[in-house]
Amino acid sequence: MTNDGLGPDPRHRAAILAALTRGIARDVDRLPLPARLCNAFVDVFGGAGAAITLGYHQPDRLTLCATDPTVARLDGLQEVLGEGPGWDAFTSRRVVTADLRHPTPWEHFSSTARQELGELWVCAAPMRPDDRALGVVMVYDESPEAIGGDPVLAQFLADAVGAALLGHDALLTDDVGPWVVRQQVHQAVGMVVAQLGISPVDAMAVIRAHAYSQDTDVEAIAALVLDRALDFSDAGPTTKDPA
Amino acid sequence: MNPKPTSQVLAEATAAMVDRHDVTDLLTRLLRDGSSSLGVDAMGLIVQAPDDTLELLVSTSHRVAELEALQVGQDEGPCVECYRSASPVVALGASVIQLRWPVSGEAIVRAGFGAVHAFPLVWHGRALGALNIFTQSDAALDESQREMAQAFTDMSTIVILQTQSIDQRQITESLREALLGRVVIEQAKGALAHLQGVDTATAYELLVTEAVQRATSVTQVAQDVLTRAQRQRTGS
Repeated sequence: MTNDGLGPDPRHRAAILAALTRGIARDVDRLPLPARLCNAFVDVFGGAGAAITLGYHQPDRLTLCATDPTVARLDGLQEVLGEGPGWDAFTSRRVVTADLRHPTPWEHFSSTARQELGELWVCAAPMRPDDRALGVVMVYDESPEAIGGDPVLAQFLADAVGAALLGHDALLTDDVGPWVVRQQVHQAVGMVVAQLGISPVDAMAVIRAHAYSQDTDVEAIAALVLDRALDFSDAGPTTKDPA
Repeated sequence: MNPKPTSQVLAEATAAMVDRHDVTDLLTRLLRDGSSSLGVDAMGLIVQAPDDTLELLVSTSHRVAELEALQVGQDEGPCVECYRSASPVVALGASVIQLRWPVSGEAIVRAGFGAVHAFPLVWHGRALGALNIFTQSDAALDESQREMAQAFTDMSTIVILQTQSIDQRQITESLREALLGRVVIEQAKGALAHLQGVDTATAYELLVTEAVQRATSVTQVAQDVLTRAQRQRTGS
């Protein structure tokens, strides 16, 4: 379902922003802003967990926060498969929901997620602090009935979260946790570029395809490449016995 | 001379989040919620108008609106000082307030307030305005109240910025460029690590050294390394 109509009414908007603000103010000294934004999003919207991913397209994709392993897997799976509600939310700039109890437009994503994580309900809302999408906030729960799942609220919250992130200078400091993990993926892409003499976009596709075939995420494959345990420059990919 | 009030400019402005909303209404309600969340008596918000003067944007009561207007008119007071210095201002106790701001301080005390706090609305290092918090008690806000006040200040900043879509787009753009630049450097570190058989830390030093020698940016060197790596296949 998509929404392009009016947001919540003024009374609710202020109350929602105030609730979001109180959530952001909590744990200031304990958690970085993206994690507080994720928690605040779940506080206000509901759901079991949430993730914030910046720039859904390669190569500048960066998952800033995932509140639990399930939502981290939902995010990683969509990256590997190149499909899912997050992708569609980012490209259409609209809220996209998926009920894994029923058939969805994303066959691979749905069947894998259903098998690994169960029949979840997933809602992906694009962060559009200006007229383009900055990234996606994804939230999940057991079923839409559990949280109401109002797409108007999801969109309003996602826009506010995106705007809050834009003011966050720390996004560009080198010691941000998520970036430390992600930079290994970029380094691995560079190694595959040199191994195969291909473009970074193609190198990323090689890593994604390998992650898919190994049933894992791109971070795991990147770690193998960086450890030089996996080299694509021979006839086929060779994985040295990690044991 | 009768420039359009900021509130009207903001309400008319178009932006993704609040183009269809009344910004002042939203901010007024947000400040009311903020006052009750913090357990303080009143809040007022002044912002920089397009012509660089200060203007009262919203307040939680008429009494506070008058105090803010007086500060702007007199060019004196906690909110004005906070905006100018782009850092928080605290004044506790009637005598301190009166001594520090002879005109507006006197009015603040007469209105029954014993303490004022002001927090700057800061966006990428630049102050856009200030949020004034008034309490009848002369006690300082505690740590959690200050954090909450800062969060409400930041949220007000965000709401106001939603109306300045051009600034915002430039910031998104520069953030995006910075992120992409960083990506290219990491990719080049990986490519060099493979080509030279070194670790990625050493690869970065090589990039920096070459940038210094060629008097160019590390990003440019990184881009060149990647282009070279795509041409020569060196594996196995």
